[in-house]
Amino acid sequence: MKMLYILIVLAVAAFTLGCIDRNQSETTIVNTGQNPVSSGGSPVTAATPSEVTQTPAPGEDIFGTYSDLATMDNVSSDMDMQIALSNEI
Amino acid sequence: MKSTKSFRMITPIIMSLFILSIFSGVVAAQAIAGEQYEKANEIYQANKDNYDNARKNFEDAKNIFEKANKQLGKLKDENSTEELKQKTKDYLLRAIDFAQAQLQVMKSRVENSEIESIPFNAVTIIDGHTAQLEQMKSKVEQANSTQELKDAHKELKEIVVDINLETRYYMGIVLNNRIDNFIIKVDNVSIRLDSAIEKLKANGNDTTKLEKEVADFKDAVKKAKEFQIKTNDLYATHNGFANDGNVTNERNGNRFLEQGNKLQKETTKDLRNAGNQVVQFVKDLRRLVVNKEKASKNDNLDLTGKVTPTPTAGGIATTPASGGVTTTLTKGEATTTNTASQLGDDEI
Repeated sequence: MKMLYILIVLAVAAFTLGCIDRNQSETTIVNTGQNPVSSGGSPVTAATPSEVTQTPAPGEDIFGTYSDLATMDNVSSDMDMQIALSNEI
Repeated sequence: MKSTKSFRMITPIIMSLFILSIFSGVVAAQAIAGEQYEKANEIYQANKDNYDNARKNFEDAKNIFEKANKQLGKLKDENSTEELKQKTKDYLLRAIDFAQAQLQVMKSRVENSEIESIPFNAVTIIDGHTAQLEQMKSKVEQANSTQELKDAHKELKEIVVDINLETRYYMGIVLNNRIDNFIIKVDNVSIRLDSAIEKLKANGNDTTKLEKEVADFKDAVKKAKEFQIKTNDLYATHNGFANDGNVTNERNGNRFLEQGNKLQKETTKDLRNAGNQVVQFVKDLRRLVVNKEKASKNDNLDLTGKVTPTPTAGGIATTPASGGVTTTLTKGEATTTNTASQLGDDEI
């Protein structure tokens, strides 16, 4: 009977561990899951040729640098969000 | 005896439950992590779409108001005054909506950023502004006189100054964090590119072009790092902003953000150059491999009269031949294998 109790405790512990593991993953996604990609909101300033990222063909962005740069561009475009009110009413 | 028998039956069930529970946790964890990421993405995108709509509505209302203000502002009759008041109200309400939409985009970005990358509680500040704007909305809706509307506009302007500065500051921090992470990543890429060249060279390949690309890549990364050090110094001082992220001095804040933004643009320009060099490197590496493959095919045809290219999963088909190179390109990793007997596998 003792063994049975031990196994039940272990099973409960495993469920709990599963939950803990899930929470950790949630934290991880907050930590690293930071690639929301924006399709809207074009940058205020037009990019010059030297500022354009060379678009890789499928399979050429093997290190993910292109997608990282695209995400950075999106954050940059969010930096340009500004509200310009009328001078006077 | 009976209890022993039941114990024997229950034990495997419990053990199965135990094992299943472990895996169910892991599987659930992965599923939930993916769902969370998707959800965060959706929330951000919805906020961004809402922002775009709010911006358009605001611009329209602002144009209408400014035209009316020019034309009707001179007229003192009751109808004109009333019409102008209505247009002013509409413009102010649209401006409040626009500011709230901007705050929501900021909030999504802040919430999706790495934990502790923003050293203060930006969400509290954002929520505070949202509440302020909500109060302003009631004021504007209830305003009856021109003076009340003028006062509301003045108050809104003060809030908007802070929101605009905080947007640039908070998004600047998020961008800095991404740049820092990207620099760590490209350092790792640099090691892999060097390693790939070494192996190709050892195999008798002409790597002059590849070496030049790596040198340019390293040069761009070096420049980017120098700019980033300066940017991080600026952000560590955060002139015009308190440690809790609130604006303390508009002028200083503007100056700091202008300097920071200029540096960040230089950094991202150099990182873009570095990224382009990596893309070019991969292209040229592929070309080199394909040329090798063709040469190998010809050799094989000459020698045996048949070719047996070996397709690789996620990569390009190659023909193993003496002195040839097999490159497997999969997402996030490229493996270059020299098929010459004296060379081993090499990971880029």
